[in-house]
Amino acid sequence: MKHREARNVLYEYARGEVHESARKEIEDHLQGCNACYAEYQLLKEGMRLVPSLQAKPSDDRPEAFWQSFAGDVERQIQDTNRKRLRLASLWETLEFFYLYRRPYVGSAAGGLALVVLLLLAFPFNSRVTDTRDESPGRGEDLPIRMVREDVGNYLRKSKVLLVGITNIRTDEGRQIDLSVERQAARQLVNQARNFDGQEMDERSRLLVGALEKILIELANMEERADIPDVEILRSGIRQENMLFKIRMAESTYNNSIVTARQLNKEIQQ
Amino acid sequence: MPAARERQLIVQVKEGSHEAFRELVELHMRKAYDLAYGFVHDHDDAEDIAQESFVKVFHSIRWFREEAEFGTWLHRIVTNFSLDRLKQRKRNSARQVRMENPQITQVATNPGGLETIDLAAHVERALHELPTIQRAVVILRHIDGLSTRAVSEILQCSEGTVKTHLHRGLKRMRSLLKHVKESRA
Repeated sequence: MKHREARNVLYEYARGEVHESARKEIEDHLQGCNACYAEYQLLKEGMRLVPSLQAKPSDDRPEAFWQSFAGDVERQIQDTNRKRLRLASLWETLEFFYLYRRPYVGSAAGGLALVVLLLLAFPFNSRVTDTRDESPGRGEDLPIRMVREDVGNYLRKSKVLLVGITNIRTDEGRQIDLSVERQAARQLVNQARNFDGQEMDERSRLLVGALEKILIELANMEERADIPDVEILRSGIRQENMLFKIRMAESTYNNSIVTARQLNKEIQQ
Repeated sequence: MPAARERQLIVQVKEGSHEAFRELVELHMRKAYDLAYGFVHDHDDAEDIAQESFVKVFHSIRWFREEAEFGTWLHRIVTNFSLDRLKQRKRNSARQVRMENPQITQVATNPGGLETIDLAAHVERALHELPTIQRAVVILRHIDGLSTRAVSEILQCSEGTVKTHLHRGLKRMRSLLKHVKESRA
């Protein structure tokens, strides 16, 4: 007998279920094959342990349990039959309406479709919108997505403001009207206060801090500033390399590109 | 029970006889219960499974081919319900009996107390340590004594698969019960 064949019938052999002629062949194989012999021994050991389970769990139940068992099954069958009947009668009712009361069925179907359409038209996401519309006070916990949007918006406005400051012509030698810029700077400083206590990466936090200093300086300047004051502010912007940092941070916050004109309009509003 | 009588009962049940169905249930209820218990190791669950299986038999018997073996068919139904119950338990993160059970440790470290410990309980626990398919094969083929072909029909796999899982299952049982065996020796 081949090794594979012998291995295939080891269990039957151990159980005494193989024919006499096959038994002799297996015995011959086991004498010459150490692997099969080891497998056979393991199987026999396993089998010797498992038959101790042969006590019937059903014997643990009292006779009264078995006397009522068939009755319990019949009761369950009756229950399932009742459910099936209810379903069948529901189906028959629907069929009746469909056949004899088609206008009603049409109206009901139309009404249902209308309700579905209304539900689709007004999805239940108003909660998110409402949250966004709320203006949380300083230090209140904002959802991370909102914070990201607000920071992005803040950086965008600040960039436009600083670009405006760096582009002011100072060669005419007269005082410069900074009333609009001061107002915008105050708004941005107020906006930056909302970020306190919110989750933000370290680089953005440093940038917002440095930006805040410049904006406070701008907000505290005279309405009609002297040229040296403006130059000091500009040198601060340059030294901090502020515009470059803002642009880098903006790419992180994935802001949309908005034209300078639109931004100026926003700041003035 | 003569196979002819069983076939007669099945025909009568198909014709709607409740008395015949009751007799059929009474003939097979203990076997169905024992099989279910072998899988789920819980009397309440075994009762539910056995009853559900007979309800299924009642509703599906019209599809049963009379030339087939009723016992094998019932085994398949009970096995399927039992496997479903085990899956449901797994989903519900039900309690699982581990081999690190204190009783096993006690056997390994305190052979003197062996007489007080029920070996069958250890075997049952070891059986429930097996993966589901191995457990099913060991119960059906080894404990229930069904043929390899019948087991392969019930579990809808090849006879080779049944044999492979049987060997693996028995060997695993042996290794799980090693401590018990050594203590007894």
